[in-house]
Amino acid sequence: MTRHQVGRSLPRLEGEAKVTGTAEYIHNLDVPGQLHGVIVRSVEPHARLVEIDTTAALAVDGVRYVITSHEVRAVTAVDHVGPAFADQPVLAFDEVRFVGEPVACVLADDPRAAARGAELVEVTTEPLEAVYDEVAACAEDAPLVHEHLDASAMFADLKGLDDREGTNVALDYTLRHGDAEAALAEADHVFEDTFRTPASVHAAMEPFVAIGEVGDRGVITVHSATQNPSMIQVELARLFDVPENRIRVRTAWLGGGFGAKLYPKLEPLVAACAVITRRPVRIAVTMDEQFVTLTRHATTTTLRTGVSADGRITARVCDVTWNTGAYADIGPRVAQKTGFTAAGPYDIEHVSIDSRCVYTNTPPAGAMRGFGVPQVSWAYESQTDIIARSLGIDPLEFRDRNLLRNGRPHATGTAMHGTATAEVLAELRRAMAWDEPLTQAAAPLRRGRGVAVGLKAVITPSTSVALVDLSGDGSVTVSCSTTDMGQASATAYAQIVAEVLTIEAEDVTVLHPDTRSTPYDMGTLGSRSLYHMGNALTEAAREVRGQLLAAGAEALGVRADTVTLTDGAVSAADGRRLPFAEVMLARFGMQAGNLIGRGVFTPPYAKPEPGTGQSPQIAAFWMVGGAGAEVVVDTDTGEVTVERLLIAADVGTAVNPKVVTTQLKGAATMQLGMTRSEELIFADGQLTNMGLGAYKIPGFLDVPGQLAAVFVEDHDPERDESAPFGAKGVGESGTFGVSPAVANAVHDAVGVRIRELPLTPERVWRAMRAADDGGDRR
Amino acid sequence: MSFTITEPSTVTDAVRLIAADDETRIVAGGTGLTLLLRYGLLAPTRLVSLRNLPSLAGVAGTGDGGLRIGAATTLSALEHSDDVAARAPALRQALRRLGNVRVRNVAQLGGAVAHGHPQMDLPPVLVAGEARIEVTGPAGTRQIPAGELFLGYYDTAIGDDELVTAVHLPPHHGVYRKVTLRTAEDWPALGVAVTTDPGDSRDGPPATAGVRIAVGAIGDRPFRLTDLEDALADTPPTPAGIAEAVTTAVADLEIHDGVDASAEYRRHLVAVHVRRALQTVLLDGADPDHGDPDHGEPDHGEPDDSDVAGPDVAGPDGGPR
Ligand SMILES: Cc1cc2nc3c(=O)[nH]c(=O)nc-3n(C[C@H](O)[C@H](O)[C@H](O)COP(=O)(O)OP(=O)(O)OC[C@H]3O[C@@H](n4cnc5c(N)ncnc54)[C@H](O)[C@@H]3O)c2cc1C
Repeated sequence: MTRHQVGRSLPRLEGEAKVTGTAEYIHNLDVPGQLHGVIVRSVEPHARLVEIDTTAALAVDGVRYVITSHEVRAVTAVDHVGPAFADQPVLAFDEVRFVGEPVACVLADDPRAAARGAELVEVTTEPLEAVYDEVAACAEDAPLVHEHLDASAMFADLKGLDDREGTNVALDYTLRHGDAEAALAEADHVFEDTFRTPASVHAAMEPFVAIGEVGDRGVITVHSATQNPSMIQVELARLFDVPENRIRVRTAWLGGGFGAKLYPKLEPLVAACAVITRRPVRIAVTMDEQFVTLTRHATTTTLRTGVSADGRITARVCDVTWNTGAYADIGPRVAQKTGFTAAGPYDIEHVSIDSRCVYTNTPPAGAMRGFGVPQVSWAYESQTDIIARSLGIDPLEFRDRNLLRNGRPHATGTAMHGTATAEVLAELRRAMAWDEPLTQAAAPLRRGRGVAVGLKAVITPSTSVALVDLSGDGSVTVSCSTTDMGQASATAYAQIVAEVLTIEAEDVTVLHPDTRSTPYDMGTLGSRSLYHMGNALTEAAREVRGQLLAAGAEALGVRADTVTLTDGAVSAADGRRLPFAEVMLARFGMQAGNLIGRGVFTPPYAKPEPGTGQSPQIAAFWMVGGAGAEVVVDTDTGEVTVERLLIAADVGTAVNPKVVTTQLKGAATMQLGMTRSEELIFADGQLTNMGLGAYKIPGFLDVPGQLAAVFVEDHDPERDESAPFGAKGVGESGTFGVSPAVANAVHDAVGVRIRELPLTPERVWRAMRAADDGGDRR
Repeated sequence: MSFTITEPSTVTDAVRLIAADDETRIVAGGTGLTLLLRYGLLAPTRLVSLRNLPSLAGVAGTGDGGLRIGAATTLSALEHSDDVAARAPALRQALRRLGNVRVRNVAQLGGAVAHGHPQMDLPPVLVAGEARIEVTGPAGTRQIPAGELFLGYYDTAIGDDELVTAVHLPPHHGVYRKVTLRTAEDWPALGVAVTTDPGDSRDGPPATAGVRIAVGAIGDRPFRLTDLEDALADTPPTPAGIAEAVTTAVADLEIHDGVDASAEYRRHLVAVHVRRALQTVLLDGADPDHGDPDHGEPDHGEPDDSDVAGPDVAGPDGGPR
């Protein structure tokens, strides 16, 4: 019998190419005749642009052009790009709104000449008042980042946002479920706490890179390290007012993305430069520039929670403010789609959520691994422990008592199903040996442990289209526009298609996205690909299987419903077997032709009621990610050692257990960096710790001595029916619980509560000192 | 940025090249220099590489029980040198956590001495160890005491026309404590070196009188805590006695806010870590925060995969899935 492909711990198929340095990256691509672009960036956080003097730059040997908004606007049909709001100019005109905003682009024969030219472009500005903090930006009299706001056409669910004036609030999402204020008034206990997270950065190894060129019939080709080629195609077609088939966007392996490489980044600029100069234009930004291209939202969250005497959460009022920077990017969607999960994985009768996305004069913030869940879970899972401890209930027990279980309605009104909240918590209890006492450390050290659980709804609705193509020799090629940026999607897809066609995953080729030949996909984001593209691929592969069975039956001279597919062959009931190549030979008369299967997947979705956010079907599936942490705190200095970090997640079916494990651990390690050290520090809008020398991400020595992932494979007939082999996305679940689990463990160790990330030694030390001075160690 | 690279094969040629003009710069491992070039802080037209000077590399024991270390010795060669482990334990501790293994594999002792960045690990060790830095210039060879070498941000007493050729380090007993506040491989937020002469501890713990204490990464150069050294001479070697002397001495230090910590917290860290270093050296105690007297590396085992559950692991209900 054919061995199963789904469930194999297959090493990623491109692993050898990556470790031997032969894997294809856009970063390594050069196009003959290309010019190199270096971006001139604003040094003002907010200013009126008065003049750009390019004379000195143009005099530099090797510099060919200095492009400003003047030239760009002459070749584009619209002035702004952006997925949520069309608010971001390709190059700034009239105003600059953050330090680092592109104002001009110097094109030269080599990158050094371009860099020298860029230093010589003189930008004259008149300063305008600026605002940086998300809470300050909401004030009535706050300086305005944008005078006027226009919505984009890209997302139907964000329509109706246009034509706002006199505010920095780009979007205010509200959810009302029951009557939270009334329930708070009647609650036995009410807790109010405010939590903050700083802006941080993705720091992908491969910074943004794109090459634009104009080819036959004016087709604009962009080679880009992008997570969503299809959307870039749509956006460029809109920018230049040309049909989508005149835009080609292609990509290769990505050296990391983590959400930064979604939506237009360098693509509009390289395309415009190529159109203007009629030469290929390559822009590869530095690691430092990555820090002002896209960041993760800073947030301020206040939770007011009502709890009954017997430890049941009866009401929760959530107020979340997201600092989206100077341009919205996908910020409004973060505020909305993650906003509705801000009450946590709990069964709460009365919930009220206000989640607002706010402009400030800082670099744009957008999607990042977890899509906002790590920020809201920081708030709700910290507060969960505050409540449990103050009521004298074991924190894990308190969670168990309040958990949102299958069959019960979420705050959005959608009934939960196929979501393993209870199982994940049970795994944490087991794997952390929660019911055994913790061995205490010797003074001056103190040991503590904590847990946290987060819930995420996959972005819904969205569409994936796939083609599976069987060639004349029986080999199989998959065409789809998922970008493999290290999450091993290509390997998982090969496994899924191979499973359906009874072949080996190693024998399947998965193409890199190229909008000229691979069909539409909304994007590689939000842990959606395995589920959405996996469904499309399953359908496409089944179509090929059907064609194989029909052709094979004909060749074998039997009825189609009597043959089966096994081990890469069509088998008749009498034992005769025709390998795929022979089926093709019989079908086409020679080694020729293709069998093509097509799959399209858009999950069901019910648009939420405006104002209340209620919907019977808000998400295609839910992800559950829990974390348990054991820490040792040095009570003299506040230094924290995370000795142990355990991730428990609901993964549906682990298509590739090895990859699932590394995804969970990788996500946890990344979030541990955000927990302990990562923070973009601004002084008057100026980023003071740009680059990896000053902004510290974890290295291998920062990985906890014990880092483990446990996964729950939850199976629900209704959900399995809708999922490819019952699988869920797993790329983000490892992030959800990490920060609050560590803070809860620190509290368990030394009795102080940290409410603002990162959880630095100095913050812990100050909190301990304040507690010793009579503060509260609640 | 454009420059030529020259690889002289004698020290004399190297000195002649660097003395010729102001546009010439020595490159050793290049780990510090390339950053300065990249950010445009330096724009030399010629780099003089020490790659062809094998005679400048190597560790040799000296008659006094100490070490003469060639300037072109890589930090990883030093880290793994048995002589360094036996004769200069504080230096070895500092090396084990300096930067990361990629940096240590190429960076050279001469570069680590001449770079002059305030947040570095070796300067306090060299200062507490009373090392002498041997430099060679057009006027010949001289030795600079480590305590007089570091002058401030990227500023040292080494002349522009001088090449560091060796470091002379008397033998010591002692420890180095590195504090990082963000990541394990971060630059030091604080480095504390405490050394004594090996003779002092031949029969049990050394006397408090001969102890030398240097602190790095707190100001723009490393400094000795001479007041504390003096006070300790009259202090009983007890935990309480040491703690009290440290508290008094640290209260008077001039300390400013840093990028990764406030002045107040830095002062507190100095107090804690100087006290702990002194306790280790003077009371022969283990490090209270690591339990490992050689605390060279953060406690870091192999990531543990043992409890990864695969698809066939029992479900929460106890039954197979
Ligand atoms: C990622 C990273 C992390 C780091 N972390 C740490 C850390 O944690 N702790 C720490 O202490 N340091 C750290 N460093 C700094 C590192 O120690 C220095 O860059 C290194 O020691 C310099 O040695 P080099 O051989 O690379 O010198 P180079 O970079 O080649 O030269 C540095 C300077 O010294 C001069 N020079 C070199 N050799 C001589 C010589 N023989 N005579 C006279 N002048 C000379 C050069 O002209 C230049 O000015 C880090 C560096 C990096 C890149």
